[in-house]
Amino acid sequence: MEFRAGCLRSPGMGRFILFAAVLSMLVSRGGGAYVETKTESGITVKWAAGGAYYMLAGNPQNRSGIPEDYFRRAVIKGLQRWQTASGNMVTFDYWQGTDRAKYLTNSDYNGFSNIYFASNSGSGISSNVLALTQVWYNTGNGEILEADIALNDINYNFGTNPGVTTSNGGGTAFLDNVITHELGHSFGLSHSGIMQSTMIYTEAYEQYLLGCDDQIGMRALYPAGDAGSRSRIMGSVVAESGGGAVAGAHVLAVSALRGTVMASAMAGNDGRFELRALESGPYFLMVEPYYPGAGSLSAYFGGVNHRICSGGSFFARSPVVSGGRMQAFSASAGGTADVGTLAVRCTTDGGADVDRIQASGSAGSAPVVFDGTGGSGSFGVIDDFDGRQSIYFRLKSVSGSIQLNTVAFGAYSPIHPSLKLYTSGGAEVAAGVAETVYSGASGYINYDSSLSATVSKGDYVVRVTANSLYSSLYPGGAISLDSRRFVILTGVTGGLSPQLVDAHPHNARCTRGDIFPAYDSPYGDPPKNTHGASSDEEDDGGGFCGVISENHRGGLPPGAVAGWFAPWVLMLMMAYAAARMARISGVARRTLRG
Amino acid sequence: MWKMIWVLMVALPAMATSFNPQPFDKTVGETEGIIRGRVISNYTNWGMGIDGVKRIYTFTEFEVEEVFKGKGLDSRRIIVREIGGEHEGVGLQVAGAAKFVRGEDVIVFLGKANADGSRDLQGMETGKYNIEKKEDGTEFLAGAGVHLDLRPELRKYEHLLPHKDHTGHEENRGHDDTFGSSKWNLDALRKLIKSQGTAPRAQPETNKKIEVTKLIQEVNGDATGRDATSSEAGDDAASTLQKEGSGGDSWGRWFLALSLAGGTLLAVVAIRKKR
Repeated sequence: MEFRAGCLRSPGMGRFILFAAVLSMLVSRGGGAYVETKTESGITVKWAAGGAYYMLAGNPQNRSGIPEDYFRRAVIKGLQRWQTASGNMVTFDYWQGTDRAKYLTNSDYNGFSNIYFASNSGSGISSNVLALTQVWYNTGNGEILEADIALNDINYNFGTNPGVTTSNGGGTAFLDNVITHELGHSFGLSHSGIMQSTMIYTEAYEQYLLGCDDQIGMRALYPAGDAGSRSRIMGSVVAESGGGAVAGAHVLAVSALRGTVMASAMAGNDGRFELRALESGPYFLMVEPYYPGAGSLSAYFGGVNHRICSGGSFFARSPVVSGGRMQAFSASAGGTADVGTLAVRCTTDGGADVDRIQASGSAGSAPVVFDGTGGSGSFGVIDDFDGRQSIYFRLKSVSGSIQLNTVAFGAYSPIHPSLKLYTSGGAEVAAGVAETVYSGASGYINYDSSLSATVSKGDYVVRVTANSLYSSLYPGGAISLDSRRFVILTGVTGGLSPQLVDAHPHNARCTRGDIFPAYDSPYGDPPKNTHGASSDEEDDGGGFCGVISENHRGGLPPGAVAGWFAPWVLMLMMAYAAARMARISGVARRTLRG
Repeated sequence: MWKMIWVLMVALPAMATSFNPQPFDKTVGETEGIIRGRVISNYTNWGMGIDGVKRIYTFTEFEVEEVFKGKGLDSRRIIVREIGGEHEGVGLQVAGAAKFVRGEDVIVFLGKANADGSRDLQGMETGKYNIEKKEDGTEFLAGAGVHLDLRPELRKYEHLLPHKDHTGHEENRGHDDTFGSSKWNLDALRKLIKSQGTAPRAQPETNKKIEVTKLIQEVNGDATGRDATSSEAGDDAASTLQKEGSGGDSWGRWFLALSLAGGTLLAVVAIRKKR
């Protein structure tokens, strides 16, 4: 039996393509939350809705000395991380073996999704590519048909120590980092600009643990049971002073309730963006260039150019502010908040466009950033830190619990902020202070800070101080680092807390435990992937309609047996014919002689 | 009183599915060909990779403005091949693959010539460099391979190297950046190539007819780059997949020829024996 994978040339499908193309012109294709893979016409690339089942075959043979068992665990755990993030809307099966006839070591478009090491494929990949994932998809609907992953163990060494990565300049990568990142591509995610994301464009510490943006992205791509309780923020991005749409602008959503960058969205070519699958609550927005450049993105974003300021420099990080405060945008559960048009700005030095809201930098002149007279609430403020050691803010008439967070490191500001809380009389308030809000087993540290305290009613002063940081401490490194020092301070009073902590654990990275149920591979050889096959399609005999046999890859290719015997049969037939001719000619000669 | 100092590091631009950077001079030394050119058009088609894998590629035609390095590049036009694209209903994406926009003026790092005359872009996105011009007219390379140039505004911190934090508080697991790569202007690139002993053999000849131009005429049906030979080269993937599945057609042809020869030989022997 045969079927056709991704066959789009039947008359019916031809009409469908035309319809899809027209539709793509009529319907705005605002960029979604996280950075998604898109077809060239802007359709989201993902596994089929309702059937996101990834069948992956792994061949563990490698030059790095990675044991087969370790490789198997690394792949399965990587798959389980993404499955969990999707709320089990993505499922998988994994087969592993060393028989290259069944566990293929190539990235052919053949209906089999494979993960393998380059040294086992007989040839290498580019020497500066650590690994790559080929995502094959149906251009008509964006459905992923196959995803193959090659790991470059020819030019790099893969290790099992999470504290040793290529991000510290060595030639050894942590296998789990790379595999989990590549699997993210397999599920339709492109490169994120969020520093704590697994899908960041370079290997980084803790990359194997999914960040907030990755998790939100999976919920947006593959809506789960809680989709109705999630909210959406949408809008569009333009250049300041009457400029046009800024395609590919990177919009960050900082959760006021969590005090961390929760998700990002990439504006479409029309400048529109959508932050989907957010938990409800207030968010602060900041628009920034996508510093890694279009090469890290789908071809749809190929024309993205964020050097729109004089001298060809990038537009500046542009927080959405109102009256010197970060403007909060909220959408109720299941609702949508339209934030309208956001204008990105240019600055003389290319650094973030952040005003100095506290001129003197002394406690006495600290501006009021929150007034708790009306009860509980949240706030956000962003301030310029250049040339200063400390800045102060006042909280008026607050009582009960206070939770303060800084976002500086997490937004590529080159500082490590610290927090202290004082009474209006100058006495330090006893508080739980975290100088760093997240640290992982690999040694990765998020250098933002937090403070929590319970206070009696009164006015208080928050002090933020900052130390310097090496850029190499930032996942992604210098490429996205801002040249201006700034800090975002968020606060929550009265016990307000985020809603979806089961789906997205309440920590600065949304990191969850990395323990999953035992997984057993199905018996037998890896089957071909039937995603994209449309049994009701009629072949019109033209176009690309790759015929893929349903035989297991362990068997001989179709026609191979007949192909092998055909020449021999032909040869014997010719020999027989020649002998017969010789006999006939001999008989003829004898007859003539007679 | 202390001063805030922060530095940029060398390693990361690593875009991609995991690119890992290497010193720019090493990349130049290892690259077969380097040209500067302007993008004229592009199209997609199936092609065979150096690893023997059949993929969809995007072919981009360049008008060559300067050959920095490489043999066989002394032509007016050249076709550069990069992984990924959409072709007849099937798409292939690899994060980190370079994209070229018509009219772009870029420097590209190239591999050896493929059978069809095209050349693969080396290192995907890290093999493509945009050209930035300073006010004094100096042209610099900008791109993932010399990532620091992505942020020229950050150079103001160069004088602060090496990093010293008065508090000693911050951990440093990284490494300092020497800003070496930010100095790669086009003259420096030429000098580097000359010092490596791999200067170009010739500059492009304006009106020279070349093989790749023919290729474009044959393959590129119109100016939009729409593939005109899909019924030939890319054509029926069913047959190509089946060919690959049965071991490729070249072996089949050899075997058939040998079989025919063997059959003929047997026939001759039979005739002679009969006589």
